[in-house]
Amino acid sequence: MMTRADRFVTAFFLLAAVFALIFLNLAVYSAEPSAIVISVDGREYARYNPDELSEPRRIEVRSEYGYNLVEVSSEGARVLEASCPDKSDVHSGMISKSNQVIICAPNRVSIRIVGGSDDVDGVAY
Amino acid sequence: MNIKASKKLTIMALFTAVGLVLQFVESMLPIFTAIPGGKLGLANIVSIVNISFFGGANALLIAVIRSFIGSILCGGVMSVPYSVSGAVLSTVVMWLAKKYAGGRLSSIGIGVLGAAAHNTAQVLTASIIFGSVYIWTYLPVLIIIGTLSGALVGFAAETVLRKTPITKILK
Repeated sequence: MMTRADRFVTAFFLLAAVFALIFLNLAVYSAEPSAIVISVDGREYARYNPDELSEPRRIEVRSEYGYNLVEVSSEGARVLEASCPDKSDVHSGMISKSNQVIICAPNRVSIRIVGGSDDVDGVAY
Repeated sequence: MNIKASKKLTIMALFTAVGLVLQFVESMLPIFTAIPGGKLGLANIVSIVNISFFGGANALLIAVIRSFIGSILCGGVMSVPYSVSGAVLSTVVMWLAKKYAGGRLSSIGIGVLGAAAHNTAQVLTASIIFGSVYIWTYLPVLIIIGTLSGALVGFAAETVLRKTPITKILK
């Protein structure tokens, strides 16, 4: 029932996505993590140095958009609780590599691991 | 308004409701909300069918109305830009794919293209709202899920298209 063009389109997107994942792991995620940055509505809310976190820390992120409970540790960051309906940020699990992000779209919260000497946090003000 | 036009309008309204129900049911299935941004896209079955039955412009109109109401019902006001941008881009891409490659692509290929367009629109919307380019790192995983679910959705749409005698219904 699949035509040749169907198979081509399907294979194209799967292969492109796999190559993109390989590229992300080699080039984008490879730098040593240097900071965990939590932003709300594009503004930096808090910044942590993972090397200075001997114990995991829980941060309550509250804004007019909602509430998120974030845990940062030397391993990375994850969201434990969220007030948003879909909880996709909680389901994202732990991020540990530089340039990985967790976003909570309804609450406009983003958590990103900044890598290497890159101090630009990629957030527009 | 003649009977044929009223029939068409009624069926289009009915399909909007069917899309809404599919979107709502999908949002209740926890397995598909477990992957951020990953979804089955059941409502897209209706969009694919609409393009064949009522043409791209009507399909786009139905998709916009359906995604606007559906996202308010399922995810709240904040999810409206994501849902509507995804519905608009995917419907336009599927419309163009049907128009220019409809002879070679079945609904399966069209569904895959629609899913990829939907994922791209959502990531683009998020990167604009968050002002961050790093959100694009979500896209490859979304495309993998979207390609598989898009093929499934396309298969379902193909089945609906084959079994529905729309020209008879609209007579």
